[in-house]
Amino acid sequence: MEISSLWLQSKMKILSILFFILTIFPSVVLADEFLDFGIDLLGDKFTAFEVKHNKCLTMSKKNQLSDSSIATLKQLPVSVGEALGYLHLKAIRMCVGDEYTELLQVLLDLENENKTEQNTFVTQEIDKIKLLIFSTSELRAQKQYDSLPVEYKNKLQLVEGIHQPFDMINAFERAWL
Amino acid sequence: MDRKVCPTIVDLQLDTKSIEAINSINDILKTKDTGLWVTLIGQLLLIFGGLGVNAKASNNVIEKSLVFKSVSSDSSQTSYSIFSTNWEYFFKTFSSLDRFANNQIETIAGMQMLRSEISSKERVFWKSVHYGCKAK
Repeated sequence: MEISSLWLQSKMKILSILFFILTIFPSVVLADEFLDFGIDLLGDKFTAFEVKHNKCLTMSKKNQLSDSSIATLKQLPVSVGEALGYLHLKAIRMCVGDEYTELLQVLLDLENENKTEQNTFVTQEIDKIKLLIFSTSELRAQKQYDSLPVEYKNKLQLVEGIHQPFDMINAFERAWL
Repeated sequence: MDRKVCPTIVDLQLDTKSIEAINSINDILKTKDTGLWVTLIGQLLLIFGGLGVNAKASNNVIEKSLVFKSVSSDSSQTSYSIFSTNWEYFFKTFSSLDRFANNQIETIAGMQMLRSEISSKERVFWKSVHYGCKAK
C-alpha cells in the first residue's frame, strides 16, 4: 500500500513537471519564432521601402519646378527656402506610400513584441533602422515650415509641382541664388 | 550635375545647425559595420567623427598630423581646411555605405544648402557633400 502511494506521488510529480513544461515551453518557442519571423519580415519590408524610396528620390532629381513656379517662389523671401526641405521630405514620404507604412508597422510591432524578450540583436536592428529612417528629421523641417506666416504657406501650397517629389536644390538656387 | 573637382575650402567655420547635421551624418556612419569611420582618423571624415580642429588647441592630434590646418584669424572659432586628400578618403567611405544611408546623407546635406543664413564656404562644403565631387 505504501509503495503504491509513493509510486502515485512520484507519478503525480512527473505529470506536474510535464504539465509545467508543456504550458511554458510553447510560449518560449513561440516568442522566439515571433522574433525570428519579425526580424526577417523587417528586413524584407526595409528592402522594399528602400527600393521605392530610391525610385522616388531619383524621380525628384528629374522633376524640376517650372519657370512659373520659380517665379512664384521669387516673390517670397529667401528664408522660405528651408521650407522647401519639409515639402520635399513630405512629397518623398507620400511617394513611398504603402512601403513606408508597412515598414513602420513591422518596426513598431516588432519593437512591442521585443519589450518582454529584450533580445539584444532585435533591439540593435530596430534602433539601426529607426536611426537611418529618421536621420533627416522631418519633425525639425516641419517646425521650420509651420513657423512661416500663413500667407507664405498658402503661396507655397499653390506652387505647381511642389506636392510631387521635386528637385529642392534646383528650385532654391533658381529662385534665390 | 557633372561631378566637379572637390574644392579646397580654407577656414571653414560651421554653425550650430551645420554641426547638428554633421552629428546626424556621423550617426549614420556609425551604423556601418565596416568601422571605416573610426579608421579614417585624420581625414575629412574626422569632422563627422565629432572631433574638431580647434585653433586654440595647439597640442591637438590632428593639428600635429597636418591634415587639417587651422588658419582662422579668430581663435575663438573652430575652423577647418579641407584639401583634395580629405575629399578622396571621405568619398571612399561613402562608396562602402548602403544606398539608403548614402541617400539620407545626401538629403541632410541638401537641406543644409537650403538655409539662407549659411556662409558661402559652408554652402560650398554642403554642396560638395550633397552632389559628390571628384577627388583629384
